[in-house]
Amino acid sequence: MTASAWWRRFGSRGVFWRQLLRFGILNCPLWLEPLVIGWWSMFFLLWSSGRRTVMRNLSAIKPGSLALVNFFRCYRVFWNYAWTIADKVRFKESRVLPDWEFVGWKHFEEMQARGGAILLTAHMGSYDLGAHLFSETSGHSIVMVRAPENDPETHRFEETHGAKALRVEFTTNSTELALGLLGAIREGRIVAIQGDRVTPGISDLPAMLFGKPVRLPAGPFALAMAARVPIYPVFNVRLGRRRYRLVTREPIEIVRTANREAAFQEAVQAWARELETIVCACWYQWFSFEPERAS
Amino acid sequence: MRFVQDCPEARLLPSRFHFALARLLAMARSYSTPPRPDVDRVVYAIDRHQNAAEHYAVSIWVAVSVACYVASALPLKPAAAAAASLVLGPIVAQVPIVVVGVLVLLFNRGKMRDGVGINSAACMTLFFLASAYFAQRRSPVRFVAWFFFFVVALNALAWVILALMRKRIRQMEAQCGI
Repeated sequence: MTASAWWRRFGSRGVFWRQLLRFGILNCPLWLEPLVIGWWSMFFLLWSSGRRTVMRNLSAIKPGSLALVNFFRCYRVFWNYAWTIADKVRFKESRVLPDWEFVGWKHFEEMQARGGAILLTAHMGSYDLGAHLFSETSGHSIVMVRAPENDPETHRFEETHGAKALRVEFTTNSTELALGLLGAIREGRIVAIQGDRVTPGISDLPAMLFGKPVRLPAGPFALAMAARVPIYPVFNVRLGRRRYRLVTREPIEIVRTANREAAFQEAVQAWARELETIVCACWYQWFSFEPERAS
Repeated sequence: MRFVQDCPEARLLPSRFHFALARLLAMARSYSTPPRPDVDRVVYAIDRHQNAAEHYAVSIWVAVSVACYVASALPLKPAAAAAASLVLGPIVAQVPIVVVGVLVLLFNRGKMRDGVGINSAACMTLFFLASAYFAQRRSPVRFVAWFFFFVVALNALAWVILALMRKRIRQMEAQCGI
């Protein structure tokens, strides 16, 4: 291993922090956990790009808010994020699940009953915990789509310590991925995609979020049109220590018309509205740490 | 891990609490009808570390006590010692976790294993020893140390009461389908 590769492990996306988190989960007495998490959450504030993005998100969500107030709000976002990733690792290591509440159970049941659907979610709560809950409460298996880790060592670590029951697809080769996902939906599986962030190399669509033009991933909408299935907006909200809420909204149907662009635009704007409503109410756990690409 | 679905009474089951005192308080609260959560469905996990209020309370209590012990041990003026203890207290409270964690790691030849139980016992023992030491001081820190022993005594009493009420606890669990 070269010296630079060795140092990279201590970077914000380095493997060292994942290993440290795992060490903490396997050693920290649970009655000291709030103290430890509160302390370590402060270190996230040193992550300048993440902090700046959260501050920018907050100024869009809460227009006219003071920068100092947003700095403390930023700490609250990181504090929630720390709890979320801790819950995820605890589940992987000890199979400990939190309490769950369900809102929009009718739509959730409908999604499970139909077999083959797209679950569109955001970077909120715990994606992994929500997916596990889904696979444990329903007969359907779930395919999670996510961006790969930038650091190869971190990627390997996540693969080694990942949950075995879930199928995870990475957004590396979009053509192969699209075909694979289409096949999965046709087999009756639920495909879960995070639709609030565009990563480089994937196609996007313009939308308005908090009155600002943004780009949102086009993949889920194209997939829904090709597979002729609805998109279910599902949000996984952390309510407190070991307490989550799964919010399922009314499905977004994509009508196949001659004007594909208009159909996509209508669907993406419907998704943006759902996203805006939930982010407005739960701004403290929108874990969107990547800079937004304006259109 | 066990789960209880759509039974709001399960929220205050003693088996969802860790310390005897918290379990007894939960039992006392369980006699009043719990409000139905304003959601479609609810699933409660039955795990003794599930309650947030209990864990936050213990964590804050430990953090404040350790900060007081650190402030008392520092050879500084009271205001400076208090300021320094705000930073040093949480660090000192976490040192045993790292030391015991590394020892467990070495004992397991570099493989990470679940050491929460060992760490929990080690941290509580150290907290006990530190409280025993500071309880003998003439400074006001002795009140913080005595408070620790008061809570320990109260917890022991709660444990005895709970042991006498185990039939009732079993009934409560059965009502929730456990």
